[in-house]
Amino acid sequence: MKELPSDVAAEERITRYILDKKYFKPHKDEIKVDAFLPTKPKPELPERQTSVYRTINCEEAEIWSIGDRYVENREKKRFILARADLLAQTVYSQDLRIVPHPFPHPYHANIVNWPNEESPEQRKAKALLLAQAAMLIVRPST
Amino acid sequence: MFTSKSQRTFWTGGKNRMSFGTLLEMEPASNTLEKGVGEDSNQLWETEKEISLHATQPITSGGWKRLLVSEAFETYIERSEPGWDGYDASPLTQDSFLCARSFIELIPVWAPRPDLVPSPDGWISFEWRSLMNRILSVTPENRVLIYAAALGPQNLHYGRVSLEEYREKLPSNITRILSEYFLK
Repeated sequence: MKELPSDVAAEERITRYILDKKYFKPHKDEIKVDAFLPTKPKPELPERQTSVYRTINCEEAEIWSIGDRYVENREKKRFILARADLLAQTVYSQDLRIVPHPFPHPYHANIVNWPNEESPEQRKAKALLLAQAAMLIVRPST
Repeated sequence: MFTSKSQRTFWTGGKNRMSFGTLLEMEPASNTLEKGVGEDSNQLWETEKEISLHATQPITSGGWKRLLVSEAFETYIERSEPGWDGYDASPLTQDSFLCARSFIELIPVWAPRPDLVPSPDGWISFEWRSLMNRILSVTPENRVLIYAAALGPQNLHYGRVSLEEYREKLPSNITRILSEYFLK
């Protein structure tokens, strides 16, 4: 596995794994806005963030394999159905940041700097632009 | 007295109340009151018929709205556990469904049918797309409507509308966006 620099370069590919059937429409190549919205803050995690993986150096099989091992949860029947790929530049152009967070995998990162709790409409607008720019890749059937 | 077509069981919700979505799916069970005699029985039978008729009628003349209410209910039921998105999503609740149902009633019948999308904050969003990759996403939450729309290059709109402003009908800016950009 190649080591990645601590700063996420603008030209890096970022992957958001999709586990809910309502977050994409395969026949229309659509990724839904809410697929990129960050999770609610919690006491142990006060900042809103969207979990992603840095997949610039990965072959296709490895990208799915990372998802299988570190995101999918077979016990709870939460399976990876697709993924949304986008350039880090798209994230940066929304004044969001990508912070490496090498757990549970060295390529894991979080999109942070989302507008605060007073501005849900701004979060939605940013998530919308990410969804609009991202590329849908449906998981190939095995 | 009533059975659900899809589930064949009662569902009473967290507050021991039957949801409207379930009610829409219900039909009277056969022979529940027909065998009764007397005035009380007849009255109950009439009430049962009335409820059934009301529940199975479309919310408005737009037939897809009724389907959308059922879909909203399904969306809520299937995501009532935390982490349903594979990450840390909040569970959808009865309130999520009720907000969605109220919003569906406000959508103009001439509008195209939106997609329902669960939100990681525990609400149900409505998303419209056009062929030009235009997107409108609206989330009815408690007492407020959150929306954002990308209608072309450098043409981004977003905002919120309080419940007091949209109790009776869809906010005019959302209606305008729908009519100008999403009608086929």
